[in-house]
Order: sequence, then C-alpha cells, then structure tokens
Amino acid sequence: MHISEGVLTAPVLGTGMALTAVGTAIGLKKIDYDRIPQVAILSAAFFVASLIHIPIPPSNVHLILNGLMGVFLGWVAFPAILVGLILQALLFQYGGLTTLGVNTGIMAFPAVICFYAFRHGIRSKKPVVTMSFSFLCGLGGILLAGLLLASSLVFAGDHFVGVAKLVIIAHLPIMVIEGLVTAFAVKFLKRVKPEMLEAVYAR
Amino acid sequence: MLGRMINIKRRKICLCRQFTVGPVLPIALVLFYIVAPWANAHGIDIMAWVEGDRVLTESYFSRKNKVIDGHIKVYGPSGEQLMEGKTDANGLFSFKIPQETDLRIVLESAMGHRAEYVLKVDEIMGKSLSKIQKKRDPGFYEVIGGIGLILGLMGLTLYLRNRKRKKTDP
Repeated sequence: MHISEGVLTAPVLGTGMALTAVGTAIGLKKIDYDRIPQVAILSAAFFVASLIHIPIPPSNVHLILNGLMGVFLGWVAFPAILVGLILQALLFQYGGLTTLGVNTGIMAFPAVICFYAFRHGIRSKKPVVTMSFSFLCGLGGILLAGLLLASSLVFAGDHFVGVAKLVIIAHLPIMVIEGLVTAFAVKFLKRVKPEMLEAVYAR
Repeated sequence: MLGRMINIKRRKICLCRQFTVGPVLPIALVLFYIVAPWANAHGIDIMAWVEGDRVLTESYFSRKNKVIDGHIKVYGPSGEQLMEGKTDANGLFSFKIPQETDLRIVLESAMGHRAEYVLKVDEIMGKSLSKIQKKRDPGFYEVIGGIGLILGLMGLTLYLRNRKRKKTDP
C-alpha cells in the first residue's frame, strides 16, 4: 500500500498532503493526554506490522492493521499512522517522504470510515456481534485502502478498474487475516481491558 | 508536599497499568521478527559485487573502519577453496571470476571475527540487479530504533504536558 516516490503527479501529492493535514489536525485535537501511551503503542504496532509479510499466492503483501487502528483510535488513527509511516519511510525506505501525505490518507481514511461505520456493532454486548463487526472493520480497512490506492494511481495514468482489481486481489488474503486479527484483538481487549475500547468515545 | 508525592505515585501507577496489556501486540510482533537478523550480527561485514569480469569485495567493521589485512577465502558451491587473499588498506580485495557458479566469500580478521557473503550465480552472470541496488530488508536495529523513537515521542509529549501542568497547578 506504500506508493513510492516519483509515481504520482504533484497535484495528487498536494491533495494527499492537504487531506492528511486536516485529518491529522482533527486527530491531534481529539487526543486525550491520558491516551497517549495507547496511541504510541498502536503506532508502534502499525510500524512493525509492515514487516510481517504473508506469502500467500498470488501475492506477497504485509500486514497494515489500519482497521485495527480505526477501532481503537477513530480520528486519532491519522497522527498515529502518520508517525508510523514517517519512520517506515526513513528507516525501511517504504514509500517516501513526498508521498507521505497520500500514503497516510490511503491508510488512515479507511480507518476513520470503518470506525464510524462499525462502532455500534463493535460496542454491542453480544460477543458474536462484536467479533463479526470487528472482522468487517479489519477487512474493510484494507478494502477501502485498496480502492483509495487505485483511485490515486488513476491520476498517474492508470486505468481504475484494472488497478483496483489487481490491488484488491493481491490483498485478499490480508483482508481475511486482518479481519481475524482485529476480531480477536477486540475480543481479547474487551474482556481484559474494556476501557481501552471505550476511550475513543470519551470525546 | 506529601499529598503531592502520593498524587505523583498514583499517576505513575496509572501509567503502568496502561502498559500491562497494551504492549502485548507490538512485543509479540517484534519477537516474531527478531529471530532472523541475529544470525549475522557480528560487528564485521563483507560485501561483494561484480564489475566486468572481476568480483570486488569490501570489508568493514563499520562504514568508516575498514578491515585491513583481513584474510579472504573464496569457496565454490561444493565447499572447495578457489582463491584466497588479503584486503588492502581500504578494506578492498578483488579477484577475477574463477568460475560461473555461486561463490561463498569468507572474511576472517584477527580476534576471530568472521563474516561471509554469498555471491549468487545470477549476479555473476549479470542477470539480476546488484545487491547494492536491491532494496535491503530492514534489520533489527531499524525496527528497535523506530519503536524507540515512537516511545520517545510519547515520553516527550507526556513530559511537556506534565511540565505545563506543574506550572499551572500551584
């Protein structure tokens, strides 16, 4: 999901940066100081997750965990993902500094959208409902990110349907895996530390 | 004074509790990744690439400290020794390609430091990009460094916030 330097045109890069700036500003406003350790931990998890490659044919893609970030962070996913991506760009040479805005938008907007779409289900008292909505959240995070990736590549001259198909097929295994990771993470934390799930609704 | 200390203590405990469950995920992810890179964490390294009909090698302790007079041996795929030599003052050693197979280049310096580099036959035949151009997988230190930076950022934010609070609270 990391778009490299030199692929996109300046207007797309600019738009990405602007949207990410807005999202990050909203996110930073919503951070409650007591939650900073939690945000940092999730940011670190996001940072490391990109190293876990899943070699299932037809592709070799890595975990992203943006759905999971969405569940726990809502808008705060923006700054958390931005920090993770800056470090990935600097230390791993994933993506690049000029594409930081676009890449953050590609991964963080789905997190926010999934958060709002599935939050009621996730807060449900029935474990089955919680888990299935969390699964959808993890899956949807990747699916939407794939669509956003494809639509930003359209401006670089690619054909949307073709790219979208390619990206989404390549990420099918990851969608299922992230769905499961998210579902079990939510289930586990709801049992052990329910306030972590509720913190995002405090403001 | 005492009341303030207790207050600080309580805040600390609160922070600790936040840490108990949170780090499980990233720590598990790191442990998952740690195992592999340890294999070559020796503090000495050798790199080899092909230029024309010669193999060039560079040996170094770190980017700045080259291995001088390091002993280099070149082995073929079945373990037979093809060549040996010593690195010069810049840590360099080059040799003509002895045969078009995988080559295992072993560097040994004083005090038991040892490193090796396998030059693949594809690289010798010029079929693949040289190792330098290829994107390297991030190593252990990059991962730990990144996590450290994130946690440092967290610490800085919390510190600044506490300082601000101290100023406003009498």
